[in-house]
Amino acid sequence: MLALIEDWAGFDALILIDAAVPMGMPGRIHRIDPKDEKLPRDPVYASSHAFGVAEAIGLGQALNQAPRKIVVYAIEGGSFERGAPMTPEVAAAIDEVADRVIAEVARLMPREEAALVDA
Amino acid sequence: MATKSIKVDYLARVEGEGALDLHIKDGQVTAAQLRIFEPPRFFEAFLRGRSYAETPDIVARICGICPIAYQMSAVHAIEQAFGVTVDGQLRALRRLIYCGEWIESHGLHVVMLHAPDFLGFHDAIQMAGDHAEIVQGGLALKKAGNELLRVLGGREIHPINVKAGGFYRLPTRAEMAPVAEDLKRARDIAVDLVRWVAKLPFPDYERDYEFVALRHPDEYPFNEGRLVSNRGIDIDISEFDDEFEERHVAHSTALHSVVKRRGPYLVGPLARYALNYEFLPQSVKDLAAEIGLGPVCKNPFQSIIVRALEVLFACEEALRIIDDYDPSEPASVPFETRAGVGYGCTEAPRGVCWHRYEFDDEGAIISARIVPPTSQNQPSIEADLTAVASTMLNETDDRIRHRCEQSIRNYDPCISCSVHFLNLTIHRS
Repeated sequence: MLALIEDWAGFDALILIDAAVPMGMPGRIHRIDPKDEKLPRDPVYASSHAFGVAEAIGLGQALNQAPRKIVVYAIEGGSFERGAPMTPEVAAAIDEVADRVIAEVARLMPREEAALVDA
Repeated sequence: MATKSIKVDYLARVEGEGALDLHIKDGQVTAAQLRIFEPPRFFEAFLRGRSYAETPDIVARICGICPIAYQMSAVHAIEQAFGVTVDGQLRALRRLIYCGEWIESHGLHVVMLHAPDFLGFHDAIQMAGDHAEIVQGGLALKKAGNELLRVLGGREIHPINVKAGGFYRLPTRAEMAPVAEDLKRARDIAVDLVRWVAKLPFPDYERDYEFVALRHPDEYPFNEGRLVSNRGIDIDISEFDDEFEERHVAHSTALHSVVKRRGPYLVGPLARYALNYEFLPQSVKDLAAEIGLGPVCKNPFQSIIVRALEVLFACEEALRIIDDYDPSEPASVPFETRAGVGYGCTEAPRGVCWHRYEFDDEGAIISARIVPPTSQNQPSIEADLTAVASTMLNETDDRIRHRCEQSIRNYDPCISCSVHFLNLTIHRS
């Protein structure tokens, strides 16, 4: 996860899509803007083996090395069994997440670049 | 008699899961038990029946931070069993890939996991607010080390280019050139890091350790040498069982290693440094002298300085090897399998990593034994905890707890290797 800080270097905006721990509704989509809402972060998981998305964003922001605009899409997982296929509930969320990410990109993109894409 | 019990939910910034019980009775520490409950992973069992050729890739999965250690110990054991000698440039390239692992592992531990302890920060993220340059340096070191692993090992985590006899493919000079540039920057970062960690406030604590490390006649050890100690051990790696013993203890899923005749011993940076100081490049010795660190360091909290010095050494060694690199030489030496037993022992960032394999004539594993560094250090960690806690019994439980956590992190323990977070319970009666 530490490598995320390098991966997003130079980017102005970031949309990060990840699996979330199950909270009772597999496939439920959570949209988190770290500016308004703290990403769930267990203080325990501050080892390099378990350095998560929240830690990478936190460290990137502390070092002024995170994109100015960040949106996290977290989809509640259904099964984390090794080798198991995606559960139907989570698979059913794919299209909606894709549509919302496309809309998000349009919203985040500076107007002049958006005009170029439209052209 | 009243019993006081203090519980810390987790110890962070270690690799693995475990817990610590500290028992204090009548003003004395009666027991300090590092309980490792990371489930056993049965690597030794499921290696049985697998081909020698699969072994480096299987054992690499033991650890995401130090896969090279496992790969190197395994390939040396395989080669010894089959009577293969790997020397010249291939030998140097094995040192090179090990340099990458030390740089990324030490860089990560020094800056991201260990340094926050000394300055009262909860973690590296909080530390980044006041010490952004240091944290950025730590990330750059990790990146430089990882890049070396990627170019020579095929990928950063669990490299895939290591095989018995050498490598599957050697990188081109053009692929190696940017790595050298990264390493030059990493070398400068390491020098600054050594000077920075040397100024950290260190607890006044020393212990008379039995240091155990590899020792080679003319180089700071990575892959080869005899197993030596500062109390007279000087053996071939195949004689490990003559001097050392692994014991089951009820409170841990990891085996405890001891020197049969004496007890706990210490492997890792402090031991390597004390037993091999003379083989460090003059530049590293000069920097050690500048910051006031002698050839032997018995303060486990200052292991952070020795790790930083070893990062500098690894950067210099890597640059030296890259300078001599000739990509036109063969990537591996050919060999044939035969029945036999082979031993491998190499210096993981955390200390010696010892392997023994028995093969049938087709090269399938009949039996495997792996002794990782953290299980060797476990009794020593417990001895440190007893000693450290004993000096501060009148202090608050919070302070004792913090110092105990810090004492454990001195070892950069990789608990998942030895068999993820610690509960710390203090029982006072």
